[in-house]
Amino acid sequence: MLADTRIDGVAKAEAITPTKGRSLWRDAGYRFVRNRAALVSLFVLLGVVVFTIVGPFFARWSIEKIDWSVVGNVLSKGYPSVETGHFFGTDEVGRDLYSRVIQGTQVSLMVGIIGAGIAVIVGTIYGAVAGYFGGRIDSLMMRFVDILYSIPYMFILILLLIIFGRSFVMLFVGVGLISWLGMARVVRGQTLTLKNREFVEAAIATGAKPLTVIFRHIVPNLLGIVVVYATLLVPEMILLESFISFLGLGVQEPNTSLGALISEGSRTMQYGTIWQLIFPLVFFVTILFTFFFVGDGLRDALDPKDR
Amino acid sequence: MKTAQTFKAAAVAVALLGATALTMPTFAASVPEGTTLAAEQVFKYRVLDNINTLDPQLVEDVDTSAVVRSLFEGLYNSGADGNPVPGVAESYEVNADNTVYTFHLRDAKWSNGDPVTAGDFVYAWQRAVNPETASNYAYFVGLVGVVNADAIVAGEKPVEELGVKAIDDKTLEVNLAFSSPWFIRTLSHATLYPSPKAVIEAKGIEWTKPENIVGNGAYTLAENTPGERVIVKRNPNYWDDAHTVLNEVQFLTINDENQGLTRWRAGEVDQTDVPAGQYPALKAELPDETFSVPQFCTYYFDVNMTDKQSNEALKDVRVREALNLSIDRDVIVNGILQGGQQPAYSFAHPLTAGYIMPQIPAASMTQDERDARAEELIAEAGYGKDNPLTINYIYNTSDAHKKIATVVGQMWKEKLGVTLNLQDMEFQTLIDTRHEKNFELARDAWCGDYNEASTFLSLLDSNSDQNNSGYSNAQVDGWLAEAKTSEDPNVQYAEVETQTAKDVAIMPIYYYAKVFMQNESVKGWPYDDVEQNWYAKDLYKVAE
Repeated sequence: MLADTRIDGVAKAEAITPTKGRSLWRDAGYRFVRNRAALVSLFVLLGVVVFTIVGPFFARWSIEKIDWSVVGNVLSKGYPSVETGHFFGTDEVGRDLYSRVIQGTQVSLMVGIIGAGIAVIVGTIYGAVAGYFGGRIDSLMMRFVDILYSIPYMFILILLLIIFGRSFVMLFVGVGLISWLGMARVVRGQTLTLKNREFVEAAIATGAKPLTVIFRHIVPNLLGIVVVYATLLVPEMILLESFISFLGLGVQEPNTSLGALISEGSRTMQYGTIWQLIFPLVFFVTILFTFFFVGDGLRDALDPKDR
Repeated sequence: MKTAQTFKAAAVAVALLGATALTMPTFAASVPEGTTLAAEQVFKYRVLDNINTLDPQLVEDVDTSAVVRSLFEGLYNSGADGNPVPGVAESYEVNADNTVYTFHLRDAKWSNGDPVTAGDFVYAWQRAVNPETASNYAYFVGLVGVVNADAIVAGEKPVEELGVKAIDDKTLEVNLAFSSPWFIRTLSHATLYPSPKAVIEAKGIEWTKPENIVGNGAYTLAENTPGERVIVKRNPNYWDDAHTVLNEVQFLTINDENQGLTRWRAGEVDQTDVPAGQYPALKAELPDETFSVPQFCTYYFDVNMTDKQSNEALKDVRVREALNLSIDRDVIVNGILQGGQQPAYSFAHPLTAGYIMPQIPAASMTQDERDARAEELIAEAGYGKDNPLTINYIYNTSDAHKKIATVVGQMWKEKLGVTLNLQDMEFQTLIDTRHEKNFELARDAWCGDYNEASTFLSLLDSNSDQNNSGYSNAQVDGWLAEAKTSEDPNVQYAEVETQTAKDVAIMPIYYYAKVFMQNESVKGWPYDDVEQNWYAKDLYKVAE
């Protein structure tokens, strides 16, 4: 039959050259790759991460081992040198700065990523639930966020570290406690605009339960904004941790973080041991810049309004 | 007296200061003729920590004492060379066996115009020993020998029975429980300053606030901003105001040595401590403004000997001995501090007048021998690299303390496999934590309050309020009591030092040197006084 063959023909043609659907994510990917600054930053950032993983294999000194031959002569013997194995020089008491910078970078990145991770998980769920249910639940949940917001968090964090002692766990708990608040607000606002859209109504009409609607339909549509916000949150968390370390309240010796290293380096810069400041500072600035550029690039790529 | 600072310094002072000493005044700033004084007579002194209570009977740290010395004055002061010079007392008489001192007071006034009377001293001393005052220096009155002081502190006798009485307004009689030729030397200590009864009774605990406080020193309190600064201004009612030159002294709290140095270079402070390890470079750069003089203090670690700490290992004397032996003092003194400090193996400062330092076995070993012995001991105790020990250490926030702690921690880790956890805190918190015995190891330092060995060794007495390690050895207590009446107390002192070193209740690290930067225009500093008791009224600034 004529009609049938025609349809058949079309079907065949489609089977031979299937049209590739261009998903939103794919579009975003294209836009991101075209953003030179963001792309370069991403590679630099990956380079730093790889360095913190591979770097320790080349270290000749541990983070806490004191080079006794350098003690007392840091200026004349502790400078950066391949011969002594102190690639970045030593700190004021003769510990290897190469190992310490790597460890500091690891700690800073961990704090940033874990802080942002908590923000993504807790903030997204909290904000989406509040926004979706609305009404009294929304009011209650968001006022709770407002109250937490109004407490000076630095004060709370310092109190936590003093009362429970300084440790990695406490630092993460402290950072995690405050990092999700902003995320919850952003996500709630976005949920409010999404929840009356047709696909959500369709889902409700087919009898989907509220939680299913939130996790199957709302959250995936929030991912763009969440990813952008999270990338910008990472450097904020790193800054926060560094500030606490700068105040002398961060991780405990012999562990260190970039903030603590910069604090120590800045104190001794007037005595000519400038490498103690430069190396941690370069890593710190690099991480912050690249994260911000990547975050900016992602926002440009994922935010359809700026297209 | 406790000190928050770390490092001060060496013997170069003698040659440098010989000439200065000849022109030193007996009291007050004596400005040589022909000197052009600076127009602005304000001395800005950097302190490490917050200035604590200004109540003379409660003061316990070095920097606060310097403030209190400018606000109050005792019977005798210490002069430029550390020897007593008359203060409120003009003269004294003493009986043949040095047990009854009679002081004749001059016509001195409180800053509110009231006369300073013998009764003010009686009130203050009774107040110091009164258990209600709860002074951490209450024991001091008994230590210097005042009759019945210990019994009153213990609550066994009423305060009225303290061995001090006002014969009339201008005559004070002090009865001592034992013969003490050095009693006059103890009078420059804040605990024995007079205090204004009327003001304290009217204002209660608020009496030391700037608007309430009344003192009899050369200066009055103008401002007290906790954690920031204390400002004192010239007191026109002071008996020797005519000879005072400085109009104002500012005590600025700068909690970081390096920042202190930056601000000193910028001219914001006139004196500051040299950061650990920077003395050689600064001396080469600014030879006329960098000083290092011996100071009457010992830096040490307290080991908590009480049951309030749960680290069983520290209760084993072999572990304590191993820890003590494996601290390489030479590295700390020559590598970290580099300011003329001396390594310490026993407690009392070697420059103490009349004191012969006993030979402690550890002091005569080489570091290799000490390390070898330490490894044997820790193995005997069942610890070591295969069974590592973890110890917690507390100290007050300071770059230098942290460096010392880090280096010692690393020495222990490499030699004994011990992990040292560091925790820093504010100075007053450290003091309180130590008094509460709520620690395993703690940084401590003691500066002699008067120039006699008992000012150090009495801390080892189990009854001393300042016995932070909670060390209790009946033999040591016995020797200390015996030393008070002994012909040659060095015999007992040697026993005390040897026994304490054997028990390792404290780990002496080094003897201080005061290493400081001082603006060239400041004159009159008591470089020769090992106690470094400086009086603002003795200083002056010359025009540059």
